[in-house]
Amino acid sequence: MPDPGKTFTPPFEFWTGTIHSLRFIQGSIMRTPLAHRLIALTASLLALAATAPVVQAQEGAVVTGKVTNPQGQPIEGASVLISSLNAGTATTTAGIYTFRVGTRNITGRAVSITARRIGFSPVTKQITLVSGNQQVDFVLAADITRLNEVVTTGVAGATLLKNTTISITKISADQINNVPASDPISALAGKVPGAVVMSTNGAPGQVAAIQLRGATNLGLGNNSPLVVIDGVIATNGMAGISAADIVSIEILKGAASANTYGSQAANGVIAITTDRGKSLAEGKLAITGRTELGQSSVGHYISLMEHHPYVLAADGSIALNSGGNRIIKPDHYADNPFPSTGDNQFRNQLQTWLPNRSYESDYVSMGYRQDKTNFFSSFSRAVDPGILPLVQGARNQNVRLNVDQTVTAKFDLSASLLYGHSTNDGAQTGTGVFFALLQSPPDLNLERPNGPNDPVRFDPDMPKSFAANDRGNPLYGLANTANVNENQRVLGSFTARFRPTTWLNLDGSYGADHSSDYNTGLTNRGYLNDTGIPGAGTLNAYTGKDFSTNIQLNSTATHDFGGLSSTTRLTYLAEQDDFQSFQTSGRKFNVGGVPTFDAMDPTTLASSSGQQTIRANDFYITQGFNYKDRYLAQLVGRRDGSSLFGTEARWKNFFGLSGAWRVTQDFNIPGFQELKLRYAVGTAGLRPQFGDQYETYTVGAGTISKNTVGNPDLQPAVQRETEGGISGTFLSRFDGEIVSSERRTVGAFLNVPLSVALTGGFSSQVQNAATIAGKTLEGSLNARVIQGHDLNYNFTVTASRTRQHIDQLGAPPFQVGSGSQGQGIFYYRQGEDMGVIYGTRFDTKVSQLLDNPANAGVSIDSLKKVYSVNDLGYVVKTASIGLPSETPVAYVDTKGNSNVKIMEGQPDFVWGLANTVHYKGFTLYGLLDGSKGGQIYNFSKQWMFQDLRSGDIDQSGKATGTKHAYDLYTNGFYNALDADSYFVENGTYAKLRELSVSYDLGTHFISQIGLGNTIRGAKISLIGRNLHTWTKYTGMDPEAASNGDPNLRLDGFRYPTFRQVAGQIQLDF
Amino acid sequence: MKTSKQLGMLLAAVAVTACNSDLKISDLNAPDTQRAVSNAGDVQTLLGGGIRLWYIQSNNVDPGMAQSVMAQALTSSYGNFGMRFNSAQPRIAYNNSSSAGDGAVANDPWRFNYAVLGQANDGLNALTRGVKIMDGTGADVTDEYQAIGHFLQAASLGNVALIFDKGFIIDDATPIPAPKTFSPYKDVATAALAKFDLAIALSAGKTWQIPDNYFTAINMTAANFGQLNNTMAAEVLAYTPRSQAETDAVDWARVRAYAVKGIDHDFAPIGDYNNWWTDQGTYANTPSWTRVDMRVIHELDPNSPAVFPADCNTPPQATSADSRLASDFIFMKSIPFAPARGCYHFSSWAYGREASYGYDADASTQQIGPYPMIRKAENDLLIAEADVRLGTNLAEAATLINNTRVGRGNLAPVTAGTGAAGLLAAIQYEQDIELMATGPGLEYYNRRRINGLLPQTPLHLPVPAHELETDGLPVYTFGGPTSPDH
Repeated sequence: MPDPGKTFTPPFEFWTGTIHSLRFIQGSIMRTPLAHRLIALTASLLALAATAPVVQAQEGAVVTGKVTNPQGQPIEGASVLISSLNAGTATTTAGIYTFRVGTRNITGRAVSITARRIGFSPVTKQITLVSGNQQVDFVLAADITRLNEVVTTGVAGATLLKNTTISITKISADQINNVPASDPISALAGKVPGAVVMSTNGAPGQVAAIQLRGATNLGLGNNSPLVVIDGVIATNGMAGISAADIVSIEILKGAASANTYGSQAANGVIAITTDRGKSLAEGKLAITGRTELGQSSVGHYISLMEHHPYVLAADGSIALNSGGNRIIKPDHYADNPFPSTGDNQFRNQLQTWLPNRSYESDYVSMGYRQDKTNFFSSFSRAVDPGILPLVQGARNQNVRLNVDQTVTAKFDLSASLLYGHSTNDGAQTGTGVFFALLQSPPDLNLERPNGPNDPVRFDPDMPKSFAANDRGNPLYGLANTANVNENQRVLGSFTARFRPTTWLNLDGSYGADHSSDYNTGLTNRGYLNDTGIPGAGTLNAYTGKDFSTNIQLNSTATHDFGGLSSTTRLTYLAEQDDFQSFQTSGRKFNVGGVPTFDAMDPTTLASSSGQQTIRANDFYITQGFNYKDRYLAQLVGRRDGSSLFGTEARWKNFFGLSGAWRVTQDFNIPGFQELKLRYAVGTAGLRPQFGDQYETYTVGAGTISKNTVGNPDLQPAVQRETEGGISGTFLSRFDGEIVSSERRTVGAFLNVPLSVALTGGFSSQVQNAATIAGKTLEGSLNARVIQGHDLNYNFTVTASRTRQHIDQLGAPPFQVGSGSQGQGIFYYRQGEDMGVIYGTRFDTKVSQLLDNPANAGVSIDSLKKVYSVNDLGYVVKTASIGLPSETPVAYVDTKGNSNVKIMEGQPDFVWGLANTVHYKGFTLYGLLDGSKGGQIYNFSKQWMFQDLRSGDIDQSGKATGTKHAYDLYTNGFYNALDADSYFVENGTYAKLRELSVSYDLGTHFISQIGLGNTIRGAKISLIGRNLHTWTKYTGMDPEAASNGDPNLRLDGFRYPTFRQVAGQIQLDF
Repeated sequence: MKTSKQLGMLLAAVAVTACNSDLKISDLNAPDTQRAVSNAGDVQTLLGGGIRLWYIQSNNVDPGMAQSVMAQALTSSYGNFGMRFNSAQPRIAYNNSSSAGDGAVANDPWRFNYAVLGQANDGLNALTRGVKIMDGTGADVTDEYQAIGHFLQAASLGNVALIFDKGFIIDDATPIPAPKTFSPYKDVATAALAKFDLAIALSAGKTWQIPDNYFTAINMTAANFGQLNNTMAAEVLAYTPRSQAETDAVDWARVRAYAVKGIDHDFAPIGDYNNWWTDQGTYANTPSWTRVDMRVIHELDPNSPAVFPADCNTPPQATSADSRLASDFIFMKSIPFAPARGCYHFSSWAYGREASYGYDADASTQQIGPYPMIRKAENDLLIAEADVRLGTNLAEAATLINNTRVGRGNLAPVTAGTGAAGLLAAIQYEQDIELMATGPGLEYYNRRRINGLLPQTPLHLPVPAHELETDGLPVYTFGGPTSPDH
């Protein structure tokens, strides 16, 4: 480690090593099918670098100065840069900066020097460089609007937010780090207008789903945005990315803004920039350590049945008949209490078996910047068992190294490397365990279900009189199964930038993303089945390996035509993605205690494998115009070729056009410091999935059978989006933006079902058969409410309303599934909204019976003689109320159709509200987010009806005459598990998602306790996640969706998002 | 100049790269038609694989388990495989909605039988186009594969005729896409029989032997194959009727003609868990999933109730003069079903004749070994029934019945003197007891054709909603109080 007190000059070996690294990477590329082409590009890039004049900074000019806030306090970590010369540095803790410019650049012409720091408005000054020292000081004012921040995603060149023509949301580290999220997507919840962030599987280690301005597909493909990390496309998403490393996240929401990403950007783009040590004070090693210790717990328990409909024995236990079966009371009312003592006393199995569990995460980072080199390295680890007992949960470790090296004034290099490793033994058991646990009999001790002397802990063979229809003892599997998912990820990139002239930038980058999964499942010999019989043991293993590479070459030219500045960017992008998988399973161990396939009976082994290669070549041009920072425009043209497109449709064009007018540059509008009007239109696409274009036969066991019909005409789905926006800063206190977007995704993919009979055996074909429309109105408002010396309060509110609609469907209406333990119930039909469920709607007014053609000619009066509305609000036969025969009446419309719309999932709007209060060293931060309107289907409850588990069936405490037999619930509302209106619930909720109270100990205090020489800063925090949810929804968590799609608002034994409370300490050295 | 050169180099590299782009990539995971049906080996794999697909789907839980509970042979209150709701008392209509949880009951047999049929037609068309198949000695055995192709056509059309009220009659001469014309089940059965006849004719007198792995390790000579086709043809003829009246109208002489040339030993493919298994056989022999309906126990022991008592009180353990109660059935003290779903689902008796095949057995024996799909006894009983219904040879009928009635059940033998009615009753008894949990749908077909199903039980399944919606046709169903032609 270099001595932080001395100047660190990168040794020559560093360079040599870099070249070696390059050669290594080059060698790696050669082994790929892209090798011959990529090698030529890499070589030419290196040749360019080698021929670039190497200028050693000798005497030249020394620029120095101080950067302060208006109160005169120094600003640390501000960057001061002459961008045209790529010369600059960052300020020390004292706000001082110094850097040197070579003699060659002292031309007598004025150059721009800019000081900037996140959270402050940048200041640019014109200076003429002279030999020797010259001082340039800056005073930076706080910038709540963030409009002076620079964005780089989807634009021709780095652009100030206030000069953008497209819709970009930028989230900075300070918006993420108050309550560090478990993954970068969760960190966006409530902070990005137009985004719906939903943890569709709350198990630890699972990355949340995000949807930007609505869906683009109908179940085939996904709604996930493209992920770009440090400028390189990350095929394998967010796995292994530590939120703590992030400096900023830029979000492009749809085709109007993300068109530069062409055929893979209709879902938007999330571009993450990680820390590179660029803003560190020169010559000083910065080390930060952070540890968090906390506890996870269930936020909300659902209501369970605490009474039963069985006859009681004299001692209060449940009486059994001669066959050992329980005897149902004649009235069928579930109002007898379970025993309150003894081995068979009532237990709330959820409260008993979903324990509070502790978790921890640790993070350490190290950064350094000196002259021409800056680097940042970090290590993080987390252990999160979640809320299930008997499993370890998610464990992950990540290491990152980012290095930037300036070689000459015209040439610099960047390298990034991430290694992530995670294991999870809870993710694959989550749904099954919750399925069984929610339906566990309440009067059994699941640890010893057959009594205190049951020799088998968590015995799966439970007494049938207690556990009729049981789903097994969920704890036996947790305790005795070793299911482990392991993932390793290596994400690396190398970028070279070359500026041959002041107007031309050339850069090239190579990115490689390797992700490998190794999943194993083991039950040892002797593992008991549900009837208590020991088995011979099973073992299965899956390994999947994905390796994607891409190389991108950019040429960016800028020119100023007397006030009109032009930026032109030409890009070429080549992508290749190779995936291979292999799995083996066996089901009889010849030898116990040796979990290998070698120890298994070879006749029980079975294996399968798969492979795929995807290639793409893309070209695009981005042209930006800026006339005196007033009138702004951008044009994009892109041509994509992909092996995923059908043979007859290999290439597709995309475009973008956008413009903006900064009104306040032309007119003085009272109260407005900034006002911008913006309009953008563009197209972006979605690529088909690998197998979609091919005609396939299924092979297996040496046999062949037909599967899908090939589609040589398969094209990317193309979204065309137009958006208009108005943004501004007003009253020196508020910064707001309103954006309206309209989009149509044409040619969305459908797996169009075919008649197997009529096609001779093929069951489906993937076609560009649907059009999905979406309208979004979104807005955000930042307010600096109080700005005092000691007290600051600001808040940010975001809200959006999205309406999605199926304009065209080139297939019969069809259903998509709930993901687990259920059939497809979401209904896709032409002319229908997204997120809709069709099913049985129970009548709530007697007059609704008149619609049924079977009641034609029947008067309402005669119907009322037979039917009435019971106290639950449903129409039943009056004479049956309270009897086992009481059953709700299904609505039949005037056409005799009983399958009608029962649920609309789309919320009226979603919102987020982030508040930050600083008082002296204290910071109080809270993020509330939620959803208003829209409905949720409580599929878990419907399942729980069949076995008398849901609290709804409990009749205790109800007055005589208002009780209902269990049959009303277990037969009537249960409805054979077909969707019905009883289980449709209001999905409105508000969630206190993040809360933190932190105290910055301050340098004064640290000095006082004698650690001033060691510790630069210290912060202690108390943080909470998902602390409380306000909702009328009766399930565990209204943040529920299935299939990873926020539009499919169905709660089906989902691992709920859980509460975490933690203490955190951070030390800066 | 230097900059221009550098830029030029870069652009040249980009151009070269672009020109070399190769975006044509094959799917190496699965073959296309080109690779699947281009030469003799492909056709062999396609048709040989077709046999496996036919076997797996014919013995699938859908519709087999629903049919079994509708026949009151097995019983279960679990919702899986349509068991609970299709055995509801009183009967309710089959839920033919493409969103229904039990949709696979109709959808799977429809889809899989037509998949098998399509595969058979592709193979036969390849042979028609001139693909010749030689055996290891160089002898032309193309006719063997034509026979297999026609067997698959017959077997799949036969399944459609037995399971559904109507179907598409498609063969290798039908243009694809096929015309959207439904034929009633009787016509579909007739078409199936024509294909069996072709397979039988192609097998007659031949010396070829079907490759080892086509019917698992069963040794299947051309003669054996002909026997299998004959038995299955007799099954289609005898089991297609939906009522006693239709049964009476069956050409029993033709049934007999097929059956006497039918199998002389059990047709029992050998399970290996991974590639060959019968799901129906597995669940039927798994006491934690299914039980034997009390209707069957009542047949074995008339003192036992035909329906489990409504108060869920377990009746006294049955006893029977038939020794198969002890050998094939297992008395279980506990019942895994919930009283709240109706005690009529209950039974203390599990089927255990092939217990090691079931899911309650050790994992290493589950779905391992031979499992009878068609017992010799079934073929014998078809001959016997034809004999009785034709009134030609009651003595032969009695002998065939006694093979199992006495041979396994140790019951008093029947004789010609028992009379036609008594012999038919004895046949039906053997069909219920001896053939339990063997042929797919067998229990249901045998009850259906003698008006033996509970009132308002569907007599066949409707064309599945999925197919009707794909074809743009209205969805309909059978069963329950309101649907026509229960």
